Amino acid sequence: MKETKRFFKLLFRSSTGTAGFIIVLFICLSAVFAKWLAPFDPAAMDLMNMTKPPFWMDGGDLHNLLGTDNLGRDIFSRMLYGAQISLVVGILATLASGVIGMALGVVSGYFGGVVDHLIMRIADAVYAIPGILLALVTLMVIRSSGITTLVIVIAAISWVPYARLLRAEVLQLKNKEFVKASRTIGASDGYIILEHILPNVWPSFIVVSTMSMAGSIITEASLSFLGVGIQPPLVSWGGMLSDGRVLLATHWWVATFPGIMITAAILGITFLGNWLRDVLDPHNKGL
Amino acid sequence: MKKRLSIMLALTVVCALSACGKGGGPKSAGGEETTAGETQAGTAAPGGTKSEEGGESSPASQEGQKVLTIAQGGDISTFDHQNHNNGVTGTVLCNFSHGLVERDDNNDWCCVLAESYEMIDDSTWEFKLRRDVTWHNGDPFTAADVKYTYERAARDDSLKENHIFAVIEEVQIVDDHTVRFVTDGPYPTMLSLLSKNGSQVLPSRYIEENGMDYYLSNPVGCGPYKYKEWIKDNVVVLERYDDYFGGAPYWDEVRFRAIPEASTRVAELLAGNVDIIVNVPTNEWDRVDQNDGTEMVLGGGTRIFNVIMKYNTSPTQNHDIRQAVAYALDSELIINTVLKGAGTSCYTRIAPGVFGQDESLYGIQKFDLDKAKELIAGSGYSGEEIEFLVPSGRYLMDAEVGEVVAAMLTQAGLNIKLNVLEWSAYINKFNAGEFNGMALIAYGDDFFDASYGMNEYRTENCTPISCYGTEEYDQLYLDALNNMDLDSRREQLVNMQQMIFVDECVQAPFIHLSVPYAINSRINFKSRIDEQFYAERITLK
Amino acid sequence: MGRYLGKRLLQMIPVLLILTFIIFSLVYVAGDPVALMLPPEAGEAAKASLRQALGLDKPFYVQFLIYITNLLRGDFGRSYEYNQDALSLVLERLPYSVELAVTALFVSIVLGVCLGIASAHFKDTPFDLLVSGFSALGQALPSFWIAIMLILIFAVKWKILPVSGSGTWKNLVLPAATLTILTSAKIVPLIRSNMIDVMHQDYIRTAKSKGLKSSTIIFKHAFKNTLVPVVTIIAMQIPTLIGGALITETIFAWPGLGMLIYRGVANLDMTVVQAGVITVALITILANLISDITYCLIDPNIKY
Repeated sequence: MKETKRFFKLLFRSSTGTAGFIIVLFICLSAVFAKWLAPFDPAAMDLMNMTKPPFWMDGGDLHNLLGTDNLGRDIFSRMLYGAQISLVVGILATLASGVIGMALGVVSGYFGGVVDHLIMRIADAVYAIPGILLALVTLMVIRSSGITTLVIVIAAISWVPYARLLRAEVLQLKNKEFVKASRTIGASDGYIILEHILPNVWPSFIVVSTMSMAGSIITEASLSFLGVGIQPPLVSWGGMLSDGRVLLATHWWVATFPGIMITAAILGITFLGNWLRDVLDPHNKGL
Repeated sequence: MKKRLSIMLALTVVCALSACGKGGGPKSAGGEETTAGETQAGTAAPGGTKSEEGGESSPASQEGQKVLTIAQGGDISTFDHQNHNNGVTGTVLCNFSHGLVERDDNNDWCCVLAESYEMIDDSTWEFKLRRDVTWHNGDPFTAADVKYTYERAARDDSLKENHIFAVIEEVQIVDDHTVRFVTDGPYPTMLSLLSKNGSQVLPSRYIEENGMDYYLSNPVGCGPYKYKEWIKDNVVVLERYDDYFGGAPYWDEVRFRAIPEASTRVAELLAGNVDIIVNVPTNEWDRVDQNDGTEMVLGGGTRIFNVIMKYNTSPTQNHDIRQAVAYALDSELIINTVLKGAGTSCYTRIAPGVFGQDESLYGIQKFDLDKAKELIAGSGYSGEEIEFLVPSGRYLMDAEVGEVVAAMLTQAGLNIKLNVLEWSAYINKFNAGEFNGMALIAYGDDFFDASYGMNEYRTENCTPISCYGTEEYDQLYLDALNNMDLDSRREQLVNMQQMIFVDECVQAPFIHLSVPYAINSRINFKSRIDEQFYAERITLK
Repeated sequence: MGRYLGKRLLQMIPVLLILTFIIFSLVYVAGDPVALMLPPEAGEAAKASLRQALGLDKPFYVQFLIYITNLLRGDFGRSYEYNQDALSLVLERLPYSVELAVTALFVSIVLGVCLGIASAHFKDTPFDLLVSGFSALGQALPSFWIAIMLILIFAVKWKILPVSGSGTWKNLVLPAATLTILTSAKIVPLIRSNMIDVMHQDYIRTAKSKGLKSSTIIFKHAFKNTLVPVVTIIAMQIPTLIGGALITETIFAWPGLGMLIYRGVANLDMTVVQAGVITVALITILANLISDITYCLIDPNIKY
């Protein structure tokens, strides 16, 4: 309780942090309650009602608040359901890459030697290929368009920064007195990693994660553009934006609303991430 | 193989009679029956090219040159006519080189490099060649070029067109301007083969002296336009070949641009930088028409949307289920909404203009939702999931059509799991049969003979996708393949379509797609059913 | 220094080997290019014979060994689609990518450094907020959305720039602008925070207390300190701009390396994908090496 209070006290001290928190909270809530908030089934087509404009324009009505897409589906409902998939992909991909990157980085830094060399060379190799290219080739190979594959692929291209960062942190920590002391007492490697190393690398992990999550959402949209992202009948913001792009000149609302959501989500996450970085920074006396 | 005399007589054709538009003969000298806008090169020369719409950036008016610019979604892949399976390549190279015979704007055969042709016997065709044809490097065109081109295509099995040309056993040189094609059996579709996309001739001497690689980077043809520049995935530039045997070419330069993104193509057209664009998304049609100086042209093609149903796995194995799928497709609704009128209902995969089409299956839809529901109810179907594989980004509105079809099948009572994939991922899965139930595809036909499309259903070609093949069908196909009598051959082909699409309902073809072009109003453009762009038949207004 | 360089160069060998292996296995699993080369109507026999003619029927490790041996001789194989040497295809495209990347990178750095220094100097003013907003937005917008908007505004509405294609400097403007918006948005916050850190350091304070003009401080002392992050960014952005700009290249029909690889993937033209990716990776690795060496030159305190 006290912790929560302190969290909000710190949060409200920063205006961008507050803004970020509100945006992210808002999006999460709309994703969670999509089922109740959405007036229509996101997949329900109405071929007699194609590309209807939003309610404030000529031809629009309150029935479809933000209009309909080129198969007559309600854009507002699709956006709410799209939030679910975009967020799930973003969160799971971030978690997966975080876990892979953290494990490899800690192992690499802690044990050193051949293991370190091998892991770091693999990291170099993966990092040398532009992420979007690697994802494109991999998705083509898997020939599937599900959430799971997308999460795995995004994780596979974005674990390297975690691994490098954590390795560097571990290298520093390894020579700290308390770790050395623990080892002389006879603590096992596993114990040292769990008890001494992990708690200390936590802050940097959180900061990298927020950046990585914003990146995952953009990557999902880009992969949709390349034709290998989330495919119908599933709906994601990236997919909506990319499908709607041919309509931009004639029916702007189909692509613009999901585009605004993507932008808002990324801004929110970035603001929140920047605030966390400031707060968690050990040099920051504000704590 | 009974009544072959009749056709042999009929097929002794002297080509002077069959006009093939401007590419066909040396007719430019005299002013003969030209249609309204078809002014010859001389009259519309410098100065006369400004478009009346006042588009100041009119694509053709660079320094008074007549330039035609066509933008398509992809680039050509090679100048080797027999080593591509790429629609775009054909549309460009038909301006660069010629075949012995080609199709005119009405899809009839006409002689181009041949002066006349004659069927000597069931498996031998003789062609007399024109004597005034020269390659772009000045060499004369002779029988040796023909022999080289088609024997290479027939024998080199690393070439992508090899499987079609393999029927040619030998090309005999009778004299410098007479060749004989010998096939490995009676072959009624020789003219279809030689006039299809990708059957242009190669310069044998040039290639033998310099090597194929040199040819590929410095290609030489015998068409009205010669090679100027090719920046891959960007533009192919062809320029006029003044010694062209058909007279001086109309355009000074023809540019084929590769613009993958549909909205970019439309933007280029609206900005006045290109004359013709292909695959215009339906939502842009009104904008193109309302814009000053651009208009839509809805052309014909041969692609037909088809629901493929696995013939040997449950539940699509069930005859009633397959029939139900065909009855569940409300093709008129799809055409009128999603496709904005760009299609025609049908239930054969053979398009009009293709020899042997069953006309009774065209222009009508099978749709009857109650009947579909009834069939499903009576089939013993218990709600197993059926995968429906749909490509995206390949055909006009493909993913959208697939989504609507899935909804229609669901409405009829099937448990459909939609799976939309980007084209190359799709085609890999499709060919490997890695889908559990059904798939959407739109087959085309550049052979213009129903035997090409109906080949798939023979026992010999049994694949995981469709495995029909009854003895009766196989025999009928072989009969039609070798039948030299046109009328009975047509009847055989029609019977085959009845067996496949009506009786057995192996697949459910449902919409014949139109092809949407958008053009700059300064040009006269008539679309062709083979979707080729013959620059000589496109003129300024 | 020399020993360090030697060590780094040696390290490149396993990296390249791992990289080739990753790409090769991906492409191997990707499946059968023959399926795409022949029309769906073609028969099984035709496919089998084409497969054999292309050597695609051999086992994985044999194909990989053959591939590596050929690579060492500089032979990347032939493109199935173009029937041309894959490396020569890549080298044909590289100049377009480099032209676009260098332009975008140069403008981004100039813009990013200027805005970054300025917003650090005017910290917490409306100007700073505006710049931060711009950079946050630039990182939050998908590239294809920016690209389409630029076309609609500058090429269709105002007609002052060409829509797509390459050839003149005008064709370069819109694609380069798209990439510049994306890249400079990443540079600005980095430079800004770096400058703010530097401004708090003792020697700057000393300089200030001596009464030096703030412009002198910025340009003589602080500016030098932005060089390290700038070098890092250049090294980081080069792969993204040269091989990873495929979306921008596709929309503007710019015939760069990214589009070649994208088309290669779509056609399952394996050799081109391999050659393209390996080339981009090699460029990345070299860029990283050069940036590390540059650190030593900029800041003699960094030792290896």
